[in-house]
Amino acid sequence: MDPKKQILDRIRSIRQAPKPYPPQAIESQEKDLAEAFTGMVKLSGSTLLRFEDQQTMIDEFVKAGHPVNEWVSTWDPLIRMGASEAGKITDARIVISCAVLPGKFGVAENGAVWVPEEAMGQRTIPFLAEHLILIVHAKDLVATMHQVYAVNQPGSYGLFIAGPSKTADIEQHLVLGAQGPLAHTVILLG
Amino acid sequence: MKVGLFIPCYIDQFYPQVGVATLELLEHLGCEVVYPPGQTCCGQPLANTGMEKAAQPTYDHFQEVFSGFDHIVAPSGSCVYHVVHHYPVESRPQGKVWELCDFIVNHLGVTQIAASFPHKVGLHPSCHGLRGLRLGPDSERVEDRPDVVRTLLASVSGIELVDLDRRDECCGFGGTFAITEEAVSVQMGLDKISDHQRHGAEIITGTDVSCLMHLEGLIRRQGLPLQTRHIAEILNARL
Amino acid sequence: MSQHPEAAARFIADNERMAWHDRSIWNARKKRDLASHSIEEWEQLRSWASDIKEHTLAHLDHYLEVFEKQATANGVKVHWAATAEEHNRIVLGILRENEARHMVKSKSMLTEECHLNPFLEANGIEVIDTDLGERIVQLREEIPSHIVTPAIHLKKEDVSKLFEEKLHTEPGNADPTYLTREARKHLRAHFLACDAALTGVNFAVAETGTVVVVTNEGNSDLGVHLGKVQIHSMGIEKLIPKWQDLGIFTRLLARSATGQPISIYTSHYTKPRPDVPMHIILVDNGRTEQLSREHFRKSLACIRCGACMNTCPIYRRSGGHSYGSTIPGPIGSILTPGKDLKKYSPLPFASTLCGSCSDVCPVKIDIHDQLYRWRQIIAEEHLLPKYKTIPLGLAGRIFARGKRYDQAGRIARWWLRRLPAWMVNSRLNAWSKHRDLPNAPRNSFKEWYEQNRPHGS
Repeated sequence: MDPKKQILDRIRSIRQAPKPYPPQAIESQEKDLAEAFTGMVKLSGSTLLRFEDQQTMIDEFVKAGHPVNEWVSTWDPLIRMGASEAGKITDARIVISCAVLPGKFGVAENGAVWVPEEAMGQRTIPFLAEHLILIVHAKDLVATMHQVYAVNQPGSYGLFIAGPSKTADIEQHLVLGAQGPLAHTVILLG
Repeated sequence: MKVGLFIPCYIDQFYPQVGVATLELLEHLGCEVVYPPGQTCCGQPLANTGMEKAAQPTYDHFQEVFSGFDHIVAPSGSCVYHVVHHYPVESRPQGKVWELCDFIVNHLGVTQIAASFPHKVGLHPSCHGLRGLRLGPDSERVEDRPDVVRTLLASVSGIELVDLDRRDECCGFGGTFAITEEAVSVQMGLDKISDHQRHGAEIITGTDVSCLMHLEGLIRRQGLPLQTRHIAEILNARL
Repeated sequence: MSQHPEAAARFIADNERMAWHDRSIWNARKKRDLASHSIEEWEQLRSWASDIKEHTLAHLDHYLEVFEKQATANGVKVHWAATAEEHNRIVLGILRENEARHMVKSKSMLTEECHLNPFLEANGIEVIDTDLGERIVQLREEIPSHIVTPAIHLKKEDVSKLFEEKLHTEPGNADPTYLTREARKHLRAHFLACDAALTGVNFAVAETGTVVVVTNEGNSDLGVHLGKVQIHSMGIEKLIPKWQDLGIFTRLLARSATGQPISIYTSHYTKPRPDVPMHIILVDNGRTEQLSREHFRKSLACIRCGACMNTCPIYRRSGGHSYGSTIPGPIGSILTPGKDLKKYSPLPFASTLCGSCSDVCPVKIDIHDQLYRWRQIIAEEHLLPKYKTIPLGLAGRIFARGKRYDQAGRIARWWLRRLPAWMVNSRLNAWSKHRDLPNAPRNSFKEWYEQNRPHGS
């Protein structure tokens, strides 16, 4: 018998009272989103840097002498500064010391950043980079997961990233840097 | 006010002093208390083992014995929980069945008891009272809820309530669980006792003699400097 | 037959290790408390999550069809499997079609339930579990002892010894950071060499055809994005109606599981990469059977956070393996009896019915009430041992009559007062092995009452 028919027929043969979909009324409670977001990012073992605007950030990068030409990005200002285009990395064996990607939304209640596929160049980049830097604009912060799911789109692929990859599978001992990045930085602009 | 007093079987047989304290306390608070003589057990030991059907005659008996009371009060959260939660609706007594502290606070409206008990006391909030009857807030849910047991205890003169590391973890009694899962039951009991000991309790109290009987059995076997008292005994102390 | 009491007693016999296990899992419970108590509307979220799950289960046929339609429109191939065997054959078929021989797998309790690994291995496929805890138990040829932290029963020294033998790490180095880094190198090589990836599914969104997978390690994504074919195996109960519902469930899941405000990666797979086939397998394997059981239907709302295990005083003191089921602990004890009532009949009794599991459950499954219900069914099916039914049956007859009860009580107390202590507290009696019996008073309360309140009150 066709398993699909078998499963659906079985479900339909069960008498169940209809159960309404619950009405939900969710209000945003967070007052200072940037402050809450900053606190949560730090709590997850990540670094948070805040700059007034894009130009200040770039000036700061140049001043600090960061090896931008060794980085990988999808963000034009960095690519113009010499970073490799993330979409062009074809060999997963190449070590990516640092990837800088623009995030679309930041969530104040947990420090997570929504990264849609378009921002990655390709899907592997957020995971193969040893250090992942996500850039979020303060105007793109929302209070909770309810608010972010009201504005983000499934697209083809997208994810929330809330820190460096981690595990506590050995004796509940927290180790940062499991299978993905060893370090995680969020840059908040504005 | 006429109150039907329900004294669970193990209290009747092994801890009559708890029954006496409950009776005297309720009388002191102005209740007219009647103890219907034909009563036996609520049937929980059978039902918790899966033998609800075999317990039905016991349920019927309970209903008959307590017919004619508007309020039935018992010094046990567990037995009350069983009657109000597990009895088939048609087998439940007509009157409202109350755990003792719940009755005192939420029916009589009394929150202060003029008893005196100058000891360091650890409270064991038995699970069926705490999570079954919601006599207080448990550590799992996020809610503000008055704690009837703690309110009454705290009003007793001279009492010092100690805090525990795990304030509402189960003691491991669990009815026939104490026998069929003997090893876990004993371990849970020992862990519970050491939590009370670490925090300097001299007396462990609670709303259920069943939990206390289990803890007392372990305490006595190990010869530990701790005692158990049902909360009615404390609330009735030097009243 | 599962023998929880015996297995638990063996676990407790190594008292120091048991105490460590209890403490370390209690820590997870404490973190969960901090996280959930920081959310004012926690109970409201639980209610919504519970209602959404109940709604979905009540209209599961509808949502399954909507999901299939959406996922197919997204370019995903959707399969249906009525049984574990069908599921395993579908996976093998996909692998053969894509000429894949090396598969990486991220955590999936469903594939544990289906015994996928041994099946694929017997068919010449190499399967590597990539969650660190899962990889540890796979190398030990064990099953997970916990659904969120599969190797929670092991100490770092155990892992060190295992890795020394299997991964040739430094002898005696039990530093968790060192061991994790070594596992990272080992697993990275497998990720780079894999030609297929399979993941479990946390949530499947009907209206968008999306599957959502939550990890902390990033292992799900590394496999999925590096393999030549991606497969997602899910129980049919993982569905939720709307994209927006994820807001509720992602707020509850990690806080309940580990106390994190959210897991590190919450990945939403909706459409495949160009030229890389994406498959979703919808698996029944007993779920519709459970759905047909009115009292136990709600167990299918489980989002596998493991909070009921962390809070369970029995689980913490007996270890996940003592249950002898794929899913251990309270939720396992209500899901598993439906699979084989006789074999798993001790599980609903591995509980004091304290109710803590029901109160931590983020989707408000009435776990302890369902345990109570299973007990009734086990008794009706005559699967209770005689040492329970005979004395309790007798007690039932005594409790139904006041006079019979009074007499039995008097006789019992008379004997208890007269028997020598060694006999009363005999170690042959399970109560008295470690506990004294209470003193038997001369008079019962009833007798006291008759003497002291001769005319009632």
